[in-house]
Amino acid sequence: MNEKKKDLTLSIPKEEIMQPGHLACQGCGASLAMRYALKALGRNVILDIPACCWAVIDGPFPYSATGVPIYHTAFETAAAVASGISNGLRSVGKSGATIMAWAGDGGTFDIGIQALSGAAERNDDIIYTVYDNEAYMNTGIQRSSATPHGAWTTTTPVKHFKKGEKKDLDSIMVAHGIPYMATASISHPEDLIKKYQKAAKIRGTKFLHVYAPCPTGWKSDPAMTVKVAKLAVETNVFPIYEVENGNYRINIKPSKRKEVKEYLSMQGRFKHLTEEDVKYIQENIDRKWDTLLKKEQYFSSKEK
Amino acid sequence: MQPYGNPKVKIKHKKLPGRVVVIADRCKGCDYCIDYCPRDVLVRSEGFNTKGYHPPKVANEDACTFCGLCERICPDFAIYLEHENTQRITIQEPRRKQNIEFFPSPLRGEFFMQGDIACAEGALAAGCRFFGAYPITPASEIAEHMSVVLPRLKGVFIQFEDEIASIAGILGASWAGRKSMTATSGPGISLMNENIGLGMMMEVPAVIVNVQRGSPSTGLPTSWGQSDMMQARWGSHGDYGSIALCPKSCQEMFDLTVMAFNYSEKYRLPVFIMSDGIVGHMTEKVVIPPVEKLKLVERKYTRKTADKYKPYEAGPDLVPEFAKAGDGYRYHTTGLTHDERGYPDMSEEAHQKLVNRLVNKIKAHADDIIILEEKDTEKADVIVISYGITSRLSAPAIAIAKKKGIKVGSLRLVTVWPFPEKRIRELSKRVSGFVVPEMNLGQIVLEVERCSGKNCTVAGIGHAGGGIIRTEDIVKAITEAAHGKKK
Repeated sequence: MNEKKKDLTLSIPKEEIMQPGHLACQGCGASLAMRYALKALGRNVILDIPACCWAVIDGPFPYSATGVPIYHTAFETAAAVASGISNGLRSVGKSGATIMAWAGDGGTFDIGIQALSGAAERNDDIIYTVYDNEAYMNTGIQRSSATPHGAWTTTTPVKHFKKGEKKDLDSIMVAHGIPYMATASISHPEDLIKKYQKAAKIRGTKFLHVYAPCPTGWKSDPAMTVKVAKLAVETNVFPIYEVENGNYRINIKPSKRKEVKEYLSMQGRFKHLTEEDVKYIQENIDRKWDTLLKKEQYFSSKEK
Repeated sequence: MQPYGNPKVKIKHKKLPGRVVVIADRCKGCDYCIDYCPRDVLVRSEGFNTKGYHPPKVANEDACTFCGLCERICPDFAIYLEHENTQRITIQEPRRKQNIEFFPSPLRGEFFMQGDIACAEGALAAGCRFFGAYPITPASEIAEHMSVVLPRLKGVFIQFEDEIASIAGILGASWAGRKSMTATSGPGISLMNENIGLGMMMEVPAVIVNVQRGSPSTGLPTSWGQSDMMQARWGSHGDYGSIALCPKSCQEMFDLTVMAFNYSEKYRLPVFIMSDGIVGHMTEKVVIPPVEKLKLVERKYTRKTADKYKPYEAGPDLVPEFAKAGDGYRYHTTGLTHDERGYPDMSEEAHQKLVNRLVNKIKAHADDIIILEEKDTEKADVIVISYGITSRLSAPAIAIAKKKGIKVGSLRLVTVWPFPEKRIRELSKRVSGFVVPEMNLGQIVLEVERCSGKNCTVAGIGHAGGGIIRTEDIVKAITEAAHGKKK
């Protein structure tokens, strides 16, 4: 047990590439995600950020928080620009830099999916990260196709809250046949960092789906961000798994699944839900978890 | 007049002991109430509200004289006085699960209302029941308001996955017979432009609200500009006639939205409302008349039988009759060049005929479409030509120039496209110069130059947006234009 603990402590590099003084709200999950990702990837990274919270969080250059170059692009083009940078560098004979597109859920699930699909099909050598806060937080909490069933946003008001499931982008990306797809959460930094380090070594399109709670948009306590993220994993709302060359592996299996009610009750955006709604959500989560377990059972590599 | 979205508070104005109530979650921590309080009753609290600010708290209650200055000064309606014998109809915020009709709609009466919301209400009053959009600052408020109100009016609100889908969606809904609208800003309009051309070619009525921001590209997302004016005319590829209206106030956001729907229905084309970040995010008095008193135009539906109906056959007014999807008329609509029957026709004659009609249907009705606001133009030496928010920026400059003894008139383009060529040509023969202040580096000034030729001088005052044009710059330009004549 002690040995395992020691290992986990060492897995987080000490160097801070992202500096304090960024412009995120209190308790921002996305800023933590970037901090860990940069720790894992080192300084030789080119970031490519479309319109999203992180276009603001970084702060006005040169007083920006990240110590790496940033290409701030149009909303729908994160993956396309990353492809361009990656192939452009290759064509002038420069190698070694990691190109990371870093987009929010709106810029990935909605407007950017065309560019992302194109880059995945060409298998361009990029890391694409979506930090998922389940709505358009930067423009004022409008729903996106990553918004889960039942959630309040400013364009899905309480009386007409979002009905319909979150788009399963992870499966879509797996279906593209890319070499590496993984989900990660800011509540499990060791796992997140390992995944980034793994992704940096693989050639081709790598897709990382990082769960980043947003206290402003979720109406949760800013001090509870990590707890909310942890509960999302423990309730199977956001399973942590990876798919490497088609082989599924669930990295974190909660020993005892917690009730989704516990997760929902921490967030103001779910305050209006009735018992029936919660039951419906619970059933859906259990069904999806079962599917994932089956996928792991049937599509897992023998050698571990 | 009641503040829009504020709890209805009925207060008997008697100075009686009571208390100061702070609605903590509305506070944005500006500290105005603390700074303005003459008796230092309020102090900044240690705790945070849900937005992450420190709301004020009452520290020295005995000193309070209930003057009500804090209530008046609060920009977010987060503080009010509660007198002991005050009768309040509704005390609480609109809570979930409570059946409070917070936005009774369609509204009527006087309101203290944001420009974007006035635009949404204008659309609802005009009969818009389909709204498709994608979030973008500073136009998101229109979508947010529509998402609350439209379902209640049996309308449809869809947040699409991008702007391309938004415009395509409203064209489809309009084809089904619903009055439809979308709202966006600079980058969104750029994405929409291909489909705007499609709408022009297929002659589908729709309204596109462009709350302009500082451009190009992402530019100044939370600021303002007027740099999309030429894009509203020439944005999509090819020749077509275009209509664009420029509101200058929240009231006009309402009025011109109604008008835009009327034009789009009458002439069968997507119509632009070229607002800007200032007007969109400004809050002002808005008077909403009862729906019965609004003049609304419905599109010309055909009465011909299915075998005689030709979808693109236009009468002398050059506007074809409309048959909505599902009415039993089988026809084909396309972005390809088509003949009167709607069949694709790649011949030169068909193309000449169609494109000429698209341009001429606006040209022929220009006198009907163009609205101008003129003041003292008849005897003026210099005329300030402005549109949208710049007309309000130039008003003080005109007053100063008049005091100096210069004969200044003002001409405000409520309709920017089609351009009022005739009137400007007429005026150019009489005046010594035009002054055109605008929040871009010279777009409409080019049109004014074109129309005035060598008749008079034309001075543009450019500003790239994000701030406001300085009054002294406009006064200087007016003075120079007036002196030009005396020499």
